[in-house]
Amino acid sequence: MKNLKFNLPVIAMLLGLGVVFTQSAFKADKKLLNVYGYNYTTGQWIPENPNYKCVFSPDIFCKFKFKSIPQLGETPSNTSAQPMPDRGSYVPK
Amino acid sequence: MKKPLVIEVICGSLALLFSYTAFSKLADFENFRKQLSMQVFPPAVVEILLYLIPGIELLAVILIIVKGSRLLGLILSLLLLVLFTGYIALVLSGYYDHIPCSCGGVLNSLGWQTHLWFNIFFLVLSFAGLMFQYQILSGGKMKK
Repeated sequence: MKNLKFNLPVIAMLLGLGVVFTQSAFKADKKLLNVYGYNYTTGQWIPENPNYKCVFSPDIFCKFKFKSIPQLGETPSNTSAQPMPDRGSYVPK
Repeated sequence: MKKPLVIEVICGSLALLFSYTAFSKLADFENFRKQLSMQVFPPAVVEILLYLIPGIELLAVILIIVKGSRLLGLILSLLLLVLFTGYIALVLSGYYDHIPCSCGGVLNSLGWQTHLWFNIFFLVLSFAGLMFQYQILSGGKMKK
């Protein structure tokens, strides 16, 4: 190829832009990540993620659905977040 | 394959990576804010990173596109990838008191380990591109 007439990074950038906007156009619902688990040992709210699990304990709620992020000092006993069926403490796998 | 073509392919891959990540953050800004708040940074830092990360990613794309500033773009890409990879390495080594959500980034449903390999791949690609570009600008030879 003697002279590279096209600028591949420009095409790549437009492709990146196109992929993002086609994806967002076909997205059925904008699912916000608002589920947090509570670690009763450390007293921390952990955003739901694949590296954690609920260690079963029948008396305590493990995960909660928040409208926004948990506030400082918020605990499962004084939260307005909606508890989910999972029971136990949210701990690393 | 000739060096200019290799550089073009490397720069194309990096431009695709950074434009996709930057535009996807900007297209769903609230989700990006949430993903950032799920990391280990204090809220004040989150507010800065919220604009800084997509801004620097887009700057890297622009610098890569303009041939005169391509070397600078490759340096910035390498720097960004070193920072992202370093952060993932710290997460995986247990440096932080909890493992943050691996829900951000390009592969948002996969774990940190996959993110690490993905970043290392682009880190190597970026370094190779930088070396080739430097060789071309310095007349085909590496300075001793």
